[in-house]
Amino acid sequence: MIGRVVVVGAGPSGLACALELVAHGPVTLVERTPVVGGEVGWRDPFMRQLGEKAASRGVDFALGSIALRWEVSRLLVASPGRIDWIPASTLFFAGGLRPGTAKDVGIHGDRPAGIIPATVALHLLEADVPLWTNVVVLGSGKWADHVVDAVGKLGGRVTAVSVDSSGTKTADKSITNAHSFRAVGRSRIEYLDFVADGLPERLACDALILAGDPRPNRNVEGALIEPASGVVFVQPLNVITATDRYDAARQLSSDWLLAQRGNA
Amino acid sequence: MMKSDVFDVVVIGGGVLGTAVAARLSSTSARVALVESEADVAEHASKGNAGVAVSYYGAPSLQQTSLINASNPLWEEITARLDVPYRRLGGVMVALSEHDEDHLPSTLEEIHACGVRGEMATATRVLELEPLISNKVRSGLFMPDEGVIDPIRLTVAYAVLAATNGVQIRLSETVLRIEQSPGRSLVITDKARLETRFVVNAAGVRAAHISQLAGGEAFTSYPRKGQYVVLDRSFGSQLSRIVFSTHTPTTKGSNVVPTTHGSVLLGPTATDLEDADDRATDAETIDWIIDNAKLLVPSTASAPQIKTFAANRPAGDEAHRLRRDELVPNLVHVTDRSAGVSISPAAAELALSVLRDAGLDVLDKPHAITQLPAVPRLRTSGDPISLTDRDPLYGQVICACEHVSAAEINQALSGPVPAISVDGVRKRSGAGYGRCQGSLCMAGVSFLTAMATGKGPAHVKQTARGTVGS
Amino acid sequence: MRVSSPIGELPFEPRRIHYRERALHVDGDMGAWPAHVVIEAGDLPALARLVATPAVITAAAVAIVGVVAIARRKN
Repeated sequence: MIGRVVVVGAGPSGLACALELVAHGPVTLVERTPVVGGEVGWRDPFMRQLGEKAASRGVDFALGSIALRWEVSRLLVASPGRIDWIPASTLFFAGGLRPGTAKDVGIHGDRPAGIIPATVALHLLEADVPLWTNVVVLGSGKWADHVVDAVGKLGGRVTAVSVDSSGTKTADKSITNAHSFRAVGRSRIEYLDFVADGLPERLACDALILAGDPRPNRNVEGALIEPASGVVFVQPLNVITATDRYDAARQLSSDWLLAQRGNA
Repeated sequence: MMKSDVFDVVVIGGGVLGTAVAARLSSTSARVALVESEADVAEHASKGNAGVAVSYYGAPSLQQTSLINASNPLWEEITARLDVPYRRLGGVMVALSEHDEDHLPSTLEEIHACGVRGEMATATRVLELEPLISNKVRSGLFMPDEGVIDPIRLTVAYAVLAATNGVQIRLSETVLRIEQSPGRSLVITDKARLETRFVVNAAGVRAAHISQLAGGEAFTSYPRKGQYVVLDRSFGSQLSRIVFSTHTPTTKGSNVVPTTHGSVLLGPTATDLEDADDRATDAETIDWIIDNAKLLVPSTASAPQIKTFAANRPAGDEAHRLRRDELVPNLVHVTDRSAGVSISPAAAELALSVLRDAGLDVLDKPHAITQLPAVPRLRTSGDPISLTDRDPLYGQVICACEHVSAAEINQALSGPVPAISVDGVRKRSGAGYGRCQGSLCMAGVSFLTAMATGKGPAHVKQTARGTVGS
Repeated sequence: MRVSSPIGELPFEPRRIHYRERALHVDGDMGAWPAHVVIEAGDLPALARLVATPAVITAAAVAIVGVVAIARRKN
């Protein structure tokens, strides 16, 4: 018997784990937003389908609930009006990825307003209010692509800067192989200084969006660092599409189940 | 038509010393205004420091030392009363070389001459006190009365106490001129003309400028930049003492300091500048800090680094200044280069004394507030389940990394000295302080701040100086 | 208008109704923060199911059709 498993995160990875595990024991799926889908989004048909399937297979849902502390055999979860422990023998942490911070990416210089993580920029831009006119997006990949789209739709100009050779083709301008970043601006960001192709560059901007260098989100005390007792982390860095993440997580869960039966 | 207001004391500067003085004055009958040029209190040195409430800093004969000695035993009581995080961790000064070791006896002698508790420690004892210290340690000094405090929450608490008792906290207001006439000054700002009997100059890195505006002494004053690195709480939870570099005649070194957030600060450095507004970090200095920390505590090398920052402290001919100006009798200077937090309770008391000696004839107000209500914090609560009985919004967690709930963020956005920016919310509640640096919560915090300040997504303030949108 | 949410009750001031891409859009503000409500054709059956009596359903349907018609004419 594997006991109750609590899965944190209802994106493709978390839903995959829940579906694989629920066939062998009770599963609670904890998700901090009120919907399933994670970064893929609640409106995505594949995510909706997975959510419905999980519900029909008997997964217990705790939506709008955030995991706070993991102690061996229980997880502290908070939602409006209720903070309580969920007893469980194992935590599958599928809390997704976040863009690298200014420290992760190595940006020195000033600390002005206008330096914003891509995940935040995307939420703010959903208000359909033009926030910036001349944006530098630092990093390449999904977040950068979405920011370029969202800013462009509201009439802003976007220059994409990446640390490797992968550019962002949809941007107004794309600069690759950049390093040694410095933000310049006393109140609001005015420039991003960097070196590309051995030459110092300066880009004027009114916002610097941090969209690269994905890292795993970690916010549960007791499950911050690998390895953690009783915790399986499901946050692959190099698996990109929703279906790939789903497949990888199902495989990982299935392997884990086999290992448990092997140990029994 | 410019407003003219009349006060007994105008305090210039909303850092830890200015707000402490204002808080002390607020329990007297004095009419007080505090003027701060930034949009929030604690925006300069009081925001950017390691948060050490020292027991020992310098020579026994200094006024600063008697203020540290008077303040240090009070921290448990003061911080409980003002709802400010504080931990009396004790500090270990580490000698890694013969050269370091040579300086320990004279340092210990000075510590004892100051009347402060301290003892020599063998390498074995050092490692007992703090096992994470390098096993290359030769010997050390243990100072049991060193502590760590949240300097921003302390400053805000002083400001809230002052405001609750009637002090006018005037933010985003810059002093342009000070006109003197016998027995009074006219402090002319970009918003008003404040007539006052006394001026307290607590302007930190701008204190020399304020003195000049008032026709007071010409100080030799320059900003000293300190850079810092913040390490994640996953490492911080393992460190139990403040770890100090050995003090030598030329430097107080760079330290490894557990914070009241549970994180660890590495730093500070000391680079003298001309431009007080230059708070840029640079790769070379940050690398130095990290390398230096590795020597003291090797496991800092593998600790996740979440942020770097810099702040400028007021250096110059006097490291500490709490006295009347020599030229302008109604001007009192209250500045300290590095120990503002550590001296603040006693410095506020002494400032009132100096003002009284200068002719401020005010009475104590028996009904002044001396305590602030404790705001429970979800992250550290020993009984988190009960918090939703107090406020259901304790269950609505906005900052995932630091476990900060909407209840606490709403608290930060309310009261007499509320947060008016995303960064202001971080300063008061901790939301956004953690390892993701806002990538999960900043949208939510921006929205709550926007609703509280009546702004939209473009105009909500991100920092004291800038908005989210441009 | 008021909307209750996990972070409390928020004001919603409608500013404009329009019909676009087979959906009814209500543009408004929460304080100074723009917000909008989108009602798609696919939402109507679910909304209708929530309503108790046939008379109310008929009245609601007439009202929705009426608003949609006005919005379409305005666009």
